[in-house]
Amino acid sequence: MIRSSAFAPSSVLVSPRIAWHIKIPLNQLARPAITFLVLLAMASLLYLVQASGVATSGYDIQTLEIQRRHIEARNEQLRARIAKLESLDRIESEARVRLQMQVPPRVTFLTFESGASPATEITMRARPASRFEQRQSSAATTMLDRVASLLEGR
Amino acid sequence: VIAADRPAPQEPQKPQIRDFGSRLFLLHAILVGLSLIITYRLYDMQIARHDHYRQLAATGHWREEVIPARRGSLLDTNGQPLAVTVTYYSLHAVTQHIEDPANLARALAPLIGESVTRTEEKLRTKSVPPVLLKDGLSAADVESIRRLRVDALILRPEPMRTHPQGDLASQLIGVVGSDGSGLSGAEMGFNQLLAGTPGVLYAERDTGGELIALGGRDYVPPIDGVDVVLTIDRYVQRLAERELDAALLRHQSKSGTIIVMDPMSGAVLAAVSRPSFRLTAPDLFSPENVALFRLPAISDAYEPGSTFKAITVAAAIDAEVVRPDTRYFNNQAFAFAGGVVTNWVKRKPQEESVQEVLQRSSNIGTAWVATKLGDEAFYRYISAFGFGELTEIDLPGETPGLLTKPGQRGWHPFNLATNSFGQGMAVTPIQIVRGSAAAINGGILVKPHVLREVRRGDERQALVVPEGRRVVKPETAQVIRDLLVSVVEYDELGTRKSFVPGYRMGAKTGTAEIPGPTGYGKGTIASIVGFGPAEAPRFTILVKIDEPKDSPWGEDVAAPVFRTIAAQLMTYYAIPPSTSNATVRR
Repeated sequence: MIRSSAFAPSSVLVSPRIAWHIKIPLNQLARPAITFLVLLAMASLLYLVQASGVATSGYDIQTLEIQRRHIEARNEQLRARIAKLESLDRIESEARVRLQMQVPPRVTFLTFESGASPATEITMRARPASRFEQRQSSAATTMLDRVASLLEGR
Repeated sequence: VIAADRPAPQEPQKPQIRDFGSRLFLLHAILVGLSLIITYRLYDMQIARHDHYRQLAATGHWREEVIPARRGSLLDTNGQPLAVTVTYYSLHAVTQHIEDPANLARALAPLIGESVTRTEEKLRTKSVPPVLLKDGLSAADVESIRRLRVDALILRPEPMRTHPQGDLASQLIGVVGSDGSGLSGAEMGFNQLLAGTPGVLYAERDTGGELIALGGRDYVPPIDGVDVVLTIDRYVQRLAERELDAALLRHQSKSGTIIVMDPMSGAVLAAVSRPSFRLTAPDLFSPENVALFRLPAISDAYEPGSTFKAITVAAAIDAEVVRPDTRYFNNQAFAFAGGVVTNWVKRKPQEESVQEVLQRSSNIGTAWVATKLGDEAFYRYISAFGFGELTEIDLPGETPGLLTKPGQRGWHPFNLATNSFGQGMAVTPIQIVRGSAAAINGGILVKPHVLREVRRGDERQALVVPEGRRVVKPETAQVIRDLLVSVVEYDELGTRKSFVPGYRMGAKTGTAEIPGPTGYGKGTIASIVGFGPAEAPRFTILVKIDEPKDSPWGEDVAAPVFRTIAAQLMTYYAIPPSTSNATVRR
């Protein structure tokens, strides 16, 4: 390799075999080449930034997707728990044990004529309450109302 | 010498440009050669063997993952969940990567509800595949475990079928296998609706198996299964189960069945048989337990006994060969086709009407009615009532029962007499309920079913129940309804054990001997089929108790159960008594 004096002060390394073919001044070659390289570098940088951003967003999406599935699973578990709490076994147990309720021995049906269409009202009469039940009755009724409103409001 | 010592003048060095150029040329040639090789390889890989390398790359980076569809829920008629799929988590440990198992066990054990010793033992297991530490973990448990920040612990979501109502309707709901498909009951019958269609994710993944964010992907989303709403009412089901369990205990019986059906539509409100299995802890590997998965209410045939007499009388009245007040002379025995029919309860020879035949449950009278009808018409009618054929209920495992008709092998003319009061034939519980419903609902043989509607989100699609076929005239059905009410209100012995105070109910009890290989044995099947209220029947109930020990009679064993269930249903459905302003004592 030699440095061709013909292209001084700027020069380019060329093979002696091909040096004599080159007639283009370096300035004319370098400017567009450098411009091209700078643009290429900027474009690459832009692509890298964008790709990196998309990759980061992609992983964020994956993380959020896992969180979403986790929250959905939690919702499913909560719904199943609500359903278990609303099961007849549990309601009867609460009614009998905690609220001291009993099956009414008598059911009285009173039929009323209301305008053109007859309406039927059902009244349930429990057996005479014990002292304990009398004490508990108002609290139990309030509790039942709360449970009912909670279930209806859900 | 001097001249000789003088060094010879050096020849000026020749420029080495040519040698240098040769080497450079050689280098160029090598580079060009290498370029050509690379170009060839590129050509070979990209063009000539493109498909081969594409396949190799796809195998390495692209992976197909089946995305399971969420199994739909089974709901009762009021939308209460009977079986739902809930995602829980299983915890696994890569034991090779755990440096201090004792320390980790101490931190982990309280979070998963296991003992420290047991957890440490599992963590010390030398195993390449991850070791299962605990399954069925809740989302709250998972959060606690994640806070430990141990990379060697793996949490995997696993859908599990849970039953919020406990063991209610276990045989009817059925079980799901480990692959998520239904194995019995409604889970099997509606598997196609519940299972949905799994999706597929075909995507580029990194070496860790994670999706590449910018990678290509081909995603076919899963189609979740629909929610199936059954006609079963959990309240009615629980009532039937509770009363059946109590009756079995009371009469020291091992098995029995109760069915509650809407006689107008064929919607099954409850179906329970005992013995059964625990739905919340089914043992899929025990043959004895698996045998309990079937639903005897639709699969097990039995001799219906006197409950069948209402069918015989309905056929005869519809064919206009007898009327409720048609009388015959009961001479304590009825000889027919080489056989003799007698009654269980002996009465002095006397005249009896058809109504009294039902009220007194007379075998002799029913056989006489059947002979008035004739074998051709009798079997035509009972075939029309659906006996000897499948009801086509939408549950798996139904059997058609056993009915031998004239001309078939094993049939004898005397069969007409025995079949008329439910002997020498076998019916399934659902068949007798359907047939009895047709006799009182206006004469239409409805199709029993448990599917009410399917739901997907807010979208609902109700089942269109096909119209049943007419079996008897509406007037005949009205007559049978009144006759069966008179049976309940008949007070010969002063018991009226199926009578519900304040209501007009209809019912017919049955006490059938159990046939064996050597004839009838000592045990009986005590049963009753009834309906209520008589003005507008809302339900038909079958109670069947097998081999009660204290009393063989349907009236003693099954009728009280019918009365209890019917009375509770009247309150539950808020059906006012037949007489207004009545007080109903329980």
